[in-house]
Amino acid sequence: MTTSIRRILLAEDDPNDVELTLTALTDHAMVNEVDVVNDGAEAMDYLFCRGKYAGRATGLPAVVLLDIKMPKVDGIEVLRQLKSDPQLRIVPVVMLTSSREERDLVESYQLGASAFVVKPVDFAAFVDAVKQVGVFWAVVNEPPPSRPIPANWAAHPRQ
Amino acid sequence: MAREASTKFISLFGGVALVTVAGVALVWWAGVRVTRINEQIAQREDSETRLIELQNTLTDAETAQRGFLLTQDEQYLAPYAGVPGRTHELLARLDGDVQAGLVRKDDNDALHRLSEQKLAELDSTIQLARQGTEESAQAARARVRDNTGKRIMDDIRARIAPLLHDERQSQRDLARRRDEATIVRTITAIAGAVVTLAFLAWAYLRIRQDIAQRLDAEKELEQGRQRLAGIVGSTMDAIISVDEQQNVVLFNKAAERVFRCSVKDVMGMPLERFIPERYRNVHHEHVRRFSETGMTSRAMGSGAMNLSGVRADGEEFPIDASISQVQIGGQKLYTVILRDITDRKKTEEQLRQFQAELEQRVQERTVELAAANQELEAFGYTVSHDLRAPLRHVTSFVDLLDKHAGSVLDEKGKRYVRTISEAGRRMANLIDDLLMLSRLGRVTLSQAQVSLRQLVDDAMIQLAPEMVDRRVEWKIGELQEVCGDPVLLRNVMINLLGNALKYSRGRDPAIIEVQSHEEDGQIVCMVRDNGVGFDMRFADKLFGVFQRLHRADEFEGTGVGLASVRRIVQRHGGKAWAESELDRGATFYFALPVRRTRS
Repeated sequence: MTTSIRRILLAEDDPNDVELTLTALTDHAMVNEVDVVNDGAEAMDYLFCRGKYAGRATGLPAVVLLDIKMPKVDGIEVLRQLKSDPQLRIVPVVMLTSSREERDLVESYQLGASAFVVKPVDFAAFVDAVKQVGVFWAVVNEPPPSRPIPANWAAHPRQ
Repeated sequence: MAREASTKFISLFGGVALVTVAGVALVWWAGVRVTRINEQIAQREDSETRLIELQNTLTDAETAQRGFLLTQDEQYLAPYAGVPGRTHELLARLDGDVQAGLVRKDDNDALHRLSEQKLAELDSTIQLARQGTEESAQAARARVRDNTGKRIMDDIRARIAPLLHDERQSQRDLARRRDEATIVRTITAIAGAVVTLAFLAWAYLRIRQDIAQRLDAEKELEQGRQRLAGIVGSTMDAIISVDEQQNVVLFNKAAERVFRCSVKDVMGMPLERFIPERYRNVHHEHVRRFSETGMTSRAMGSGAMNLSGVRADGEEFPIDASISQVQIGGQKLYTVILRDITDRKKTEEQLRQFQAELEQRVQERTVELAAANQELEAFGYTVSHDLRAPLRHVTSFVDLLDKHAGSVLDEKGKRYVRTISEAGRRMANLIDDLLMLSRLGRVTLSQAQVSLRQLVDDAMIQLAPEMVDRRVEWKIGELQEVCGDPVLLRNVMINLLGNALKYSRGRDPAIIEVQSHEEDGQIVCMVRDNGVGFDMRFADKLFGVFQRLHRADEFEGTGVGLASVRRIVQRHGGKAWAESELDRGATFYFALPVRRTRS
């Protein structure tokens, strides 16, 4: 991994939301590059470097912004798979959703999501939420790999 | 009881007999005394008679002597012939009287002597006169003339006279004593008779009383017996008593009815004939064991075991029965009380069927309801995601448009953008409220003690933005604890206080009162404001979904708040209502049942 500023993965099927999210990120001077996938299956391919992402050499994303309601494989399922993989589970995941359904929230946190953001209708509020999540995980926070590696991670050393 | 009575009677009769015997003995003793005195009197009389006869005999002999001496006629001597013999006879008797103590010995001796002298004088003169000569006659007369004979006779009379006097005196004394004894006897007899009669009368009364009591007791016993017989005869339950050999000794009317046979056909017959063959051994075993327990009575059959009886015509039928045992005169008597429960069983069976049907129906409905609920939930989920997404895009892109091209839009264009934006926001609020309302019907209520005061405080913190730049006077009175879901109840309080703040916006100051009290097992909470109020004609509409009494440009809102309040309160088993007058404020109430949670 040579890139000093890592990428953000945005899994979102709705192009409008993609555009709004990207606008928000650019507007707030987020320097990270954003890779966009349009459904859960594609997100999995990206994360596990398979399918059309088999030759991807960009390493793990700094943060994954995951929409819950997506075609093929939904966000909750992607989260489940991601968190059950020993290498991927350290990637922070922010769930993005239109839903205020409690069960989604509870399930997301149980599966290990780092944050849960209800996409506000108010764009300013939305921008705020994305900004906070983005700044926190991609800019302000030290990415997890640079931390001292705990003993139980030794079996899965990263390059 | 009987033994006691008989001892009583024995002592009673003993008493009577004793008194009677004592009385009779007394009377008898008095009688004996009288008889003895009479005997003494008779002796005295005899003695007196003898003395008089002795005197008379000698006097008569003297008279005969004188007559013969004067006339020499032997005829005069006729009376004299028996005199000496008779005199000796009387004297001999007089000796007996001496021995009996009636005559003193000296008197007797004197009489003996004088009598002999007299007899000798008489004999000598008569012998002289009998010689027939003048001289002898002269001599005899001379002897008479010398008064020897007269003197002796006078002596005799002088001796006898006091004796007679004494005898009469004694007789009088004895007669007096006899009379006294007679009186004593009479009095004793009368007293004895009176005492005996009194005793008899008392005994009679006692016995009569006793008999009356006994009759009363017997009557009572008979009444009791009749009552018991009446009960046994008229009861709805069949009653059968059997002896130790399990043979029927009592069979009431109801038993006849139930088993369809007559009492005379079953008396003395074994009970077995009323028990289905397959149960007979079990029954015997049960009775044996029951007998060993010594219990007075208990229900027959046990738990799952159904008891059955057999009618005379062979029909088997279900029964309910109890058995009891009593020991009467060394013989054990078992009594079975039973009831034909054919009808009840039928009813139970029907009930069970109804219940099963009902359960089936409930299950079907539940499945239907669950499906409907699931559909609703899916619908809500879809609405919250799919409906909100495009809305969000509308508002977001309008905002972007405003930012991007705001400067080139004229006033009209800007107003359009604003209107689109506001409409989108309102729509979003509506969807949110609607979703919340639908969730209210589905979530499970938690139960906790909730302080109304705490709810008010929470709501006031949440509503703080509404109170900026205005004067609000809070009058918070007494507030109880209620039992319910804290989250939902907080929602109620926020809605009510929010409304109060909203509709009193034009007042300065706005006055909002909150208090609660207990009434008829309910906690009634009241929120009053001095705002614009509402027309009571529309009070019913107030709590309906999307029902609004004000235009959106007067007071913002979706018309879901009060609907939520009512839904939440109703789910807690309470009710919500409101009172108002236009322009004079409104009062909202909600009442929750007092229910204490178990801690």
